[in-house]
Amino acid sequence: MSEKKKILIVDDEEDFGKMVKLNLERTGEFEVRAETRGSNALNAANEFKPDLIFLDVIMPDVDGGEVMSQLKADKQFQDIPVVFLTAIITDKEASSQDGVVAGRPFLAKPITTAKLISCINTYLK
Amino acid sequence: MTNSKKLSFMADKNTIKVLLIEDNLQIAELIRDMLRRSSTVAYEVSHEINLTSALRDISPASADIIALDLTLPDSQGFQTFFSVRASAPDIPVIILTGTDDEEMAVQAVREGAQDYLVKSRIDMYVLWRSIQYSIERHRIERALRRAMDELDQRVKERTAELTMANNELQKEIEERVSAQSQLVQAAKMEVVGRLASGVAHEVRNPLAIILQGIEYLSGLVDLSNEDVASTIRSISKAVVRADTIVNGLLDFSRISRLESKACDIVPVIESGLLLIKHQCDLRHVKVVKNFASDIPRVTIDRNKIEQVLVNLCMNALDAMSSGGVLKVGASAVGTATGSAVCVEISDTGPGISPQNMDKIFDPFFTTKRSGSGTGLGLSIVKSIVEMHKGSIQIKNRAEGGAAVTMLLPV
Repeated sequence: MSEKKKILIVDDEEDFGKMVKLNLERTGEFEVRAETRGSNALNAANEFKPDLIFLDVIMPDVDGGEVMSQLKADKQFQDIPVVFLTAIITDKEASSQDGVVAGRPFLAKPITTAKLISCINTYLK
Repeated sequence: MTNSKKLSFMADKNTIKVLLIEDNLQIAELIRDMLRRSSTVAYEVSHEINLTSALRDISPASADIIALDLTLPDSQGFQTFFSVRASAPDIPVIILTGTDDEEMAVQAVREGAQDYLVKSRIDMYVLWRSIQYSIERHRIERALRRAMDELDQRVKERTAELTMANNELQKEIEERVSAQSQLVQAAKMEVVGRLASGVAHEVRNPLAIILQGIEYLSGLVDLSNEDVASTIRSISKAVVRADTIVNGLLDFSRISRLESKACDIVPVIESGLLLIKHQCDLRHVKVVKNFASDIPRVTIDRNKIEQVLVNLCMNALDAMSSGGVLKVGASAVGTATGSAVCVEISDTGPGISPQNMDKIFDPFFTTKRSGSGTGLGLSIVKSIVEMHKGSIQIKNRAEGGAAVTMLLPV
């Protein structure tokens, strides 16, 4: 049995993170940690050692862009894929550019579990 | 009164050339004699007995004044005066008349002759005075006419200048109004953009939770129970529907940015038609294309104009659920402000009801059944076209169906 892929999701919508965790873990392929505060993201990443991070853009304390800068400043996370999740771009906008907006991978909320898994598989081949 | 005082025009001229047209030789000699007697002015008289010979070489150089008998061997009455005036409009005319046709002489004066003299009552002083005053009056009349012509010309020129200035002012006003309108529009779009992002964030995050929740619950409930399954499907559909509305709002807020390039319109239309081909086939709609060969290139955001065309065609298809003809044409046209490319899209559906015609471009207005349309399509279409400084009109066709005309300036 192969090792579960570790997914960290940082989103201030606590219920969303919880649901994503439930849905992904139910597949048996993922171990998920949901974090609600951008300011805790780096600590959570240090503790959890994720294979991939889903990162909300708009968060009340430290936004996704800032969290991304902190992660990329740390050598151990430079090669970890970070996919932004946001409600303010349309699915059409995200998909029209192969999911890359301003040089970063993006997913539009609301999103199905199937799309999340497809995205994980793309970056963790 | 005597002719002792010379008139102003004679200050540097002491000779007056008189062309005497008179078939009565005695009268002619009498007049010659009277003129010969003047001590202050030398009258140089040339005499003709008929009109034809008199008018043969007539010019202002050959005569300062014409003394004209209206009854001549080759011309009688009023016609005589008209012929002289037509041949020598710049030479003053004095009519010589008998007592029996004095009335006609008065009429000739009304028509432009300077004076008339009744032959049987000609007085030497009256003759001198009449000649000199006629010449002077004629000169003043001509000067007055010239001044009036000049004035008329200056009025015309000034009117043209004022018209041009007015047109430029009008153009400037229109440009300022347009610039102001664009500023207002940009400010509105900024507000709409912020509002849309706020709405998207506040609505789509709960939708994301609902969607994930549905997926989680779907794994826990008995989906073989049709009531449970249909409830799950209904909630999912509601999420998609709400998400579509928010997407429409985001699309609407993002049309303020154009990435324009010069391009041919026909490939853009063809590309849009390709996207709806499947829908045309499904609804048994025949597409008829009519593109002119001389269409100039237009500077447009190709993707957004394609979005406009697809939206308009889809609306036309929605109006033809049981088949019909979708006509798409393009041509070059002239407009009040220059030239434009005209794109026409028409359908053979039921047309638009008069009460809906004024609201057709309003945001959130839709005639489609609940859940089928966001009501943002045509308002987005109109905004995109206006951002290209173009215009769009929808009307019902006399033969049935609706027609959309879009003008994009060249």
